Amino acid sequence: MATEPQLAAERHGVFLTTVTRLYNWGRRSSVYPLSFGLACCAIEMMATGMARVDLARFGAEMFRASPRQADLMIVAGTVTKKMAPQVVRLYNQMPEPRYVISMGACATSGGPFRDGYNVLRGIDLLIPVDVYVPGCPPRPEALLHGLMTLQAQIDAQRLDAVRWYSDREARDHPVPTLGQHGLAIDGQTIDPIGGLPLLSPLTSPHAEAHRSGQLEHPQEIRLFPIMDDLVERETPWRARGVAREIAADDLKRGGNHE
Amino acid sequence: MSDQPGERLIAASPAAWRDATRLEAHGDHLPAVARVVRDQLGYDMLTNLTAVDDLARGEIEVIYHVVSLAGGAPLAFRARTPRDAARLPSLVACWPGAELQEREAYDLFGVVFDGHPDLRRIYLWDDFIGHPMRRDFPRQGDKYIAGAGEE
Ligand code: SF4
Repeated sequence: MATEPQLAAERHGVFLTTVTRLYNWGRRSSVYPLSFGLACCAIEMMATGMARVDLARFGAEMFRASPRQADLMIVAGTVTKKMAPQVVRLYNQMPEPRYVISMGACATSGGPFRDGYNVLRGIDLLIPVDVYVPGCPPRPEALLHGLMTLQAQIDAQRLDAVRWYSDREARDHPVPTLGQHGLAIDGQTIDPIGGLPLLSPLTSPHAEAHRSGQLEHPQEIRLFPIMDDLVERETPWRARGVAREIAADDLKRGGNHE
Repeated sequence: MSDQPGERLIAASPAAWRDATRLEAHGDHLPAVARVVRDQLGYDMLTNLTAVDDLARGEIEVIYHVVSLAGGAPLAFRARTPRDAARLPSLVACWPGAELQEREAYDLFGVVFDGHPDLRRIYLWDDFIGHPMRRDFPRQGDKYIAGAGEE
C-alpha cells in the first residue's frame, strides 16, 4: 500500500493493515508460555521472567498453569525418558497455534547426559521444535533472543499457509510408552540403549512439522564438547571439523592442535 | 567374620572401625553386624546405602553409611556379594531408612535384598530390563558408535 494515502487516513483515525499482519501482531505479542521446567535450565527461565530481563516486555510473561491456555512450550531442561510421555501429552493438549522452544543442551540433544541410559536425546525426536536455544544453561538473554526469534517466525507466517486456519486437522503426536529397553512407540523401541535414536528430529520452521525419514545424523561425526574430551586431544583436521569457537577455546586452554 | 561378629566388632579398636573401608561384613552376618552397630555402637541412622560393581572380582559391594544422632564420627561398613547372584539380607528391620535405598540398589545394580518389604524398581519403570549402573550394561551414545572417534 502506498504510504501517503495511509498516513492521510491515519490522521483521520483510520488504520489500514492486512489481516495476516494484525493476526500475527496479536499472536506474537501475547505468547503465553506453559509454566513447566524440568531441570537447571528452568532456573534461568524463571530468571528470564523476573524484573531484570523481564519477559513481560515481549508479552510473554503469562506463564500459564494449564496447557489449554498456553501457546508456547519452553522445554527447559533435561527430558528424562520417564518424563518424555508427559511432555508429549502436554504438547498434545495445547491448542494450536502452538510453539516449542528447546532450551539448553539437554532439551536439544540430551546434553551432558546424552550417553546415559535415562535421558531422551533431544525433545525434537518427539515433538516439533521451532527455536533451539543453545547453552548449558543458556543465559536469560539467550532465551529472550530465542523468544524474539520465535516472534520473527510468527511474523513471517501467512494465514493461508499455516495449518491451523486451514481444513487440515491437528495431529496428535504419538505418546511414547516406557518399554523394556527404553522409549517405545507402537511397541517398537525408538531410542535403544547402545544405539542411535531411530527417529529423525522434528522441526517446525513454519509450524508445519517435517520429518526427514532419515535416521538421525547417520554418518556424521558429531562431537559434544561438553562431555567429550576427544575434542581436546584431537588432530587439527578433526578440530577444524568442529565449530571454530570450540577449536579456539581448546587452543586457549593449551591444546596442541599441531 | 567369626560366629560372634558382634564380639569381634566390639573388640576392634575405635580407630579400626572408624576407618570406613576396613569393616566388612559377610552377607550372612550382616543383620547381626547391623544390630551391633545400631544397638551397641549407637549408630541409629542410616544415611546412605550405595553399591559398587567390582567387575574384576565379579562382586558387587554394598556400602552402608551410618551416623549417630548424638554426634560423633560416622561409620561405614560394607558387604560383598557375587554379581551373578547378588543377594544380601535386608536391613530395613534395623534401619527403616534403608527401604528406599535398598530399592535403589536393586533398581540400578540388581542386588536382591532378602526380607525387604517392597522390593520394586524405584527410578526406572517396572518393565525395564537390566540394571544400568552395572559396568557391563551396554554403553550408549554417539562416541561409542564405531567410527565415531573412539576405539
Ligand atoms: S542444558 Fe545444562 S543447565 Fe540446562 S538442563 Fe541440561 S545440564 Fe541443566
